[in-house]
Amino acid sequence: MNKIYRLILAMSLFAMLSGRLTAQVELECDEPLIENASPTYYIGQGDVYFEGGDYARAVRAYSCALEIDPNFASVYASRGYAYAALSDSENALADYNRALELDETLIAAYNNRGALYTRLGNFGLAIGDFELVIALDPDNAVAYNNRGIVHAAEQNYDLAIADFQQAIALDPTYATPQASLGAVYSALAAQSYQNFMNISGEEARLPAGTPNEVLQAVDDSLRNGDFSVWLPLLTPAR
Amino acid sequence: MQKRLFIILILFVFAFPVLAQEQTETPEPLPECPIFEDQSTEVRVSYYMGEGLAYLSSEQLSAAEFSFTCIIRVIQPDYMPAYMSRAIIYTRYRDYERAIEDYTQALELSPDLLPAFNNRGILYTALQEYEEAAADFDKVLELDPDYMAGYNNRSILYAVQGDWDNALSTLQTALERSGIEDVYDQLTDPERPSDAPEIEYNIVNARAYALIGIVYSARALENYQKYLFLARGSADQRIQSAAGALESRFTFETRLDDGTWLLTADFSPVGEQEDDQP
Repeated sequence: MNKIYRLILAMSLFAMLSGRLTAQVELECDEPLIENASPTYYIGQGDVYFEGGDYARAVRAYSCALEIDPNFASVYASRGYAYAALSDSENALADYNRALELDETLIAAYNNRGALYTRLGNFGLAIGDFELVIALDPDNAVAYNNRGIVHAAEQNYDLAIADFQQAIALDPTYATPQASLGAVYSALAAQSYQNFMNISGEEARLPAGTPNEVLQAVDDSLRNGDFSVWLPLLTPAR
Repeated sequence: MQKRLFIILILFVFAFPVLAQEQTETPEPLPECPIFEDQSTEVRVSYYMGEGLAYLSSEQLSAAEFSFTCIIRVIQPDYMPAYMSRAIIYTRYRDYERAIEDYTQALELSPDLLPAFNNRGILYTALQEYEEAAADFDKVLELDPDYMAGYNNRSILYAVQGDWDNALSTLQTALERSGIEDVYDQLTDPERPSDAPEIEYNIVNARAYALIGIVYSARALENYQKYLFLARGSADQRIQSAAGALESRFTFETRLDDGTWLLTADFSPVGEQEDDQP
């Protein structure tokens, strides 16, 4: 009979081993689970939460790093982006500015602040930030893509196309500018069909149907003047 | 001639392990761990520990494994907490052999690391390698005779091997050392005033009572079974039903395989020896 109890007890070990192991690694700001942790411990955590889309938790983790080292410039850039993702533009902007006070060559802060300005519709300031990135790092494909987005949002399609092509030339493996370029061509198509319709009337025939039918097929959202359609094509920096 | 043979032998002895190594070892390529690459070891270790523990807490086990492996293989191979942390992941994968390897590595780096002995003992128990498990649990109690989870684990190992006497005496020692007997006596003292101050105690320490109960039940059943065996067809009906009830209890209610408290592991990366509250 003993064998049965042994088996039962042994089985309980297996179950135990698979249960509640994570409870003990609960993460707390004031108490790292390792000794002599440097602020990067919290940055590592923050990056994981950021990656998983848990921006509120990422903000907390980055804040813990800043509590230890309030002058860690790149952490402000990361936390700023997490704030921006939470639609907290005010804190985001404050963090980017603080990052740049500490390190005026911090590319991620210019890039992310430029993305925020784009969201807020401050296109001039956005272009200024992306141009600073390009001045600091002339091969920065992300900055070209992002500046191109601002141009596209302002319907300066020629400038946008030039930027996207430059981004592709700098980094052929970077996918976003390919999509950006496609979107500009769609916008241009929409614009031309609109012009055609303005001149020839809504009932004029095109090879693929009426202008309205063709326009719907292109991308209806690209012709209504709402620049937010471009925002998903902005690339953040970390 | 003899000298030449000797030299050849020497050469053979030295060459053989090299040849053997080349044939058997196919080393995995080093992982890429580029974050804060230009900074100090401490900064990088902290980053990957933070990252790994966050992945672990969000159940992204393979990502967490990668973080700890970065430290072990690239950044600082003698950083003990990385082994302790990766062992948790291997345990979760039920890859107990590799978990044991990591605990063993941790122990090479910190020879008195109680949680590594304790957790490795649990794994050996799970693998039914009872001698190794016993050595680990004994070491735990040698390192800290007041580590109550250590008594529970040791007694469970005795019970698993059918050694009820030692299981009971180990649990009795736990009751005495933890002071929980005294707490019980005070709380149940009829003279105790109703406004007496609350007594603080750790609930983990009370588990020894439950384990003693289980051991006695198992022992009771063992004796009922002996009686039923010898009495054959003419056994007392009441004993038969008592044995049946116990047997079904051991098959169902007291299986204890929901894993809430039977064996207690310590999974903090540096071995905090925290008590495991249910």
